[in-house]
Amino acid sequence: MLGQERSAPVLVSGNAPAPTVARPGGAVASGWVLPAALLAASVAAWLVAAPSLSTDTIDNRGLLFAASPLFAVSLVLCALAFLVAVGGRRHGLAALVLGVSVVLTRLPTAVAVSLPLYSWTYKHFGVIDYVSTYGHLDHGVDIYHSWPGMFTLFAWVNELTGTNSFQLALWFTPVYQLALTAAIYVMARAWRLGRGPALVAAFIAHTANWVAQDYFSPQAVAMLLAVGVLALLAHSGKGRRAIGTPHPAAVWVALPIYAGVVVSHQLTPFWLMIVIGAGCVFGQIRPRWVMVVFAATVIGWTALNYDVVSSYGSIFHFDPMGNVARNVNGGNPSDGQRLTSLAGRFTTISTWLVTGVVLLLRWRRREQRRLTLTLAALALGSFTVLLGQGYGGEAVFRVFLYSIPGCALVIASAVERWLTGRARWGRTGRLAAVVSLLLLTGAAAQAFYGAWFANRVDQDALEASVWIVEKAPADAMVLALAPGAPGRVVARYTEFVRNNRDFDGGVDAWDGWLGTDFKDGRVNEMTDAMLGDNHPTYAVITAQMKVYNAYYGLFPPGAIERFENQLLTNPHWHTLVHTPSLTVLVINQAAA
Amino acid sequence: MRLRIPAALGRRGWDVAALAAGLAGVLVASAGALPTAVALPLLAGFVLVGPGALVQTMLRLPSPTRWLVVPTLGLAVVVVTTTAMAWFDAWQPRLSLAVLAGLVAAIAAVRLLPPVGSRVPAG
Repeated sequence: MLGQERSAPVLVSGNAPAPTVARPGGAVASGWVLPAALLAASVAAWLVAAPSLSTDTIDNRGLLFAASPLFAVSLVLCALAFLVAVGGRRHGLAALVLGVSVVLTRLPTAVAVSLPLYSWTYKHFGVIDYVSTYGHLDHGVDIYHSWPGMFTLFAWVNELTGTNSFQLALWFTPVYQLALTAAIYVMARAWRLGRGPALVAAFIAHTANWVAQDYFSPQAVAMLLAVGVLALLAHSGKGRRAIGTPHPAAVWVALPIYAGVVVSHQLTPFWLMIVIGAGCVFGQIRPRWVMVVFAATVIGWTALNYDVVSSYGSIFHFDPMGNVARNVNGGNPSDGQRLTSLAGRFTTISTWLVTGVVLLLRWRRREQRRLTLTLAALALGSFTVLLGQGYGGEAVFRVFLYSIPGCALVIASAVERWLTGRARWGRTGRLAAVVSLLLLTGAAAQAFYGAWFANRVDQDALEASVWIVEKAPADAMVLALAPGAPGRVVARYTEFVRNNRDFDGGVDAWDGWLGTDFKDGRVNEMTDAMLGDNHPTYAVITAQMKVYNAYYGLFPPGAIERFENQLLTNPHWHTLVHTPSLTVLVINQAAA
Repeated sequence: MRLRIPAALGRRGWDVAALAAGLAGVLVASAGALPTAVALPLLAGFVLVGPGALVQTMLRLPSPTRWLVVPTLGLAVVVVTTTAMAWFDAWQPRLSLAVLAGLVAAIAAVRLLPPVGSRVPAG
C-alpha cells in the first residue's frame, strides 16, 4: 500500500496504509461473491441488450434511451460491482470488473455500427491515404500535415499488414480505452498510489471521460503517449522530493515519448509542458534544466510549422471567453441535447469541484505543498489552453480531457477511503461515495451516448463523399447544410483544399444563415451567386444531417427538407442522387 | 485476490522478449503477403514490445512503470520514425521495419550471448 513498497518518502496521498485484515464497517469487505454476482448480472444484461444497440429508432436522448433499458442497467451494475469490489479490497476482481466495464461501455462504438462514428473521423482517413499514396506530406495544406505522427503511423501499419483505416477506426475506441485505462492505473501506481486508489483513479478516468476523444484521432494517440510521459516523470526526481522510486534515466526515456507527442498533436505537448514545468520548479523533476530540452523540442517543432499555425490566426491570440464557447452554438437544441449537455456539465464541474476541494484540503493540511502545486498543475493546468489560439470551439473539451488523469489522481485516495469505510461516517460515507460515483457513471454515459444518432455515418453518404472527392474537378465546392457528411476521405482532398481551404464548409457557418427556415428567396440568391462564381458546386444532404439538425436544432423543423426541395426544383441544379437517405445535386453551369 | 503486475521479468526475459519481437518484425518486413490476421498481431507485437523491451533490459526501469513505458516507447519510436520518413520524402515502410526490427533483434541476440571471457575452454 501507500508508501510501504518503496523507500521514497513523498506520497501523493497522505493517508495511512490500509489495514490488510481489519476492515472497519465492512460486511461486504471480505466477500467477492457480491461483486462477482453483480458483474455476471451486468454482462448478462448487456448481452440481452446487445441486439437493441444497433437500433434505427432515433431518440434525441441518445442510445441509453433508444436501446433496451438493460444497456443502461448493465453499465450501472458493472460500476456498482467495481465499487463493491474496491470497498472489499478485492483488487484483482476490481481490475477485472474495470476491464469489463470499459468493454461494455465502449464496445457499442464497434459492434453497433457498420462504419466508424463521427463524420470528422473520416478527415483523418484522407491524410493517411495521402501518405500511403504519395509517401510524403503536403506541408501547409492543413494542420494535419504538420502534426502527422498518428497518420504516418497508421499509413505504415496499413501498408505492412493490409488493414485499412475503416477497420482500424471501427475497433479503435474499445481497444484504445482499455489501453488508456490500464495506462492511467500504471501512472497512478508510479505516482505512489496504492493498488486500491490506483484502481479508483483508473475507474474515474474511464468513467468521467465523456468527451469522446477516444476515437481514431491524433488526440487519442498523443494522450496515451502523454500518460506514459507522466508515469516516467514520477521517477525523475531525487531525494525526498522524488514522487516515485528515483531512476536517473527516467526523464531521458520520457524525452523520445514526448517527441512522439510533439509530432502527433499541436496542443498536448504544451499541456504536458505545464506539468513538466511545475515538476521542475517544485522539485519533483531533476535536473531542472531538462525543462529547457523538453521546451526546445516542442517550440522547435512548432516553429517549423509556424506558417501553418499562423494561417489560423495568431498563436498568442488571447480570447479565453471565446475559447470557452462550444463548437456547436446557436439554434434551438432538442430536449435530448439539453439533457446530454447538462449531463456533461455535471460530470465536468463535479469532477473539477471535488478535485479543487481535495487540493485545498491538502494545502491547508500543509501536506507536501510543493507536490500539491505540481498535482494542481497536472489536474487543472489545462485551463491555460483557453489562453491560447482558438481551437475550433473544442478548447473547452480539451481542458476537461487533459484534466482527467490529474483529477483522477488527486481524488482517488479520498474516494477509496470512503469506499473502504476508512473515512469519516463509516457506512454512511461509503454509501454516499457509491451513490455519487454511480451518479457520475450515469451522467457521463449519457454525455457520451447522447449524440449517438447525430454521429452515426451512413454508407451511401460515405460513398457519395468519396465519389465527389475522387471525380469532381479540384476547384469544386461541396455545399453541406449542416455537419453530417463524411468528407476528405481520400488523398485527393488536398487538391480541393489548395483551391479553397473551406471547399466543404457548411451553410450553417454562413453569416445570418443559422436558424433560418428557408421560406425567403435566399436559396435562389445563393444559386445565382454560385452561377456567377463559375465553380462547379455540389450540394449534399444526408439523413445524418437531418438527424444532426433535429438534435442540435441548427435550423427549425422542416427547414432542411424545404432547402432540399428548393434545390430539387431549381432548374440550375442537376440531381445526381435522390433517395430517402441521400440527395446529391450539382449546379448546372450550362443552364445558366 | 490481489492484483499483481509481475515485478520482475528478469533482464534475460526482457532480452528474450526483445529478440522475439524483433524477429516478428523482421518476419513481417520480409514476408510480402502475410494475411492481415497474422501480420497485424506480429507487427503489434514488435511495436509494443520490441524497442521498449530493449531499452528496459538496458535501463531496468521500476515496476510497474516499465509495463507502460515498454509499449509507449515502441509506439513513440515508430511515430517519430514514420513522421521523419514522410517529412523527408523517404517513405519506405518495409525497409524501415526491417531496419528497426533487425536492430532490435540483433542487439537483443548479442546481449543474450554469454560474454566471451566467461566461456570455459574445452578440455
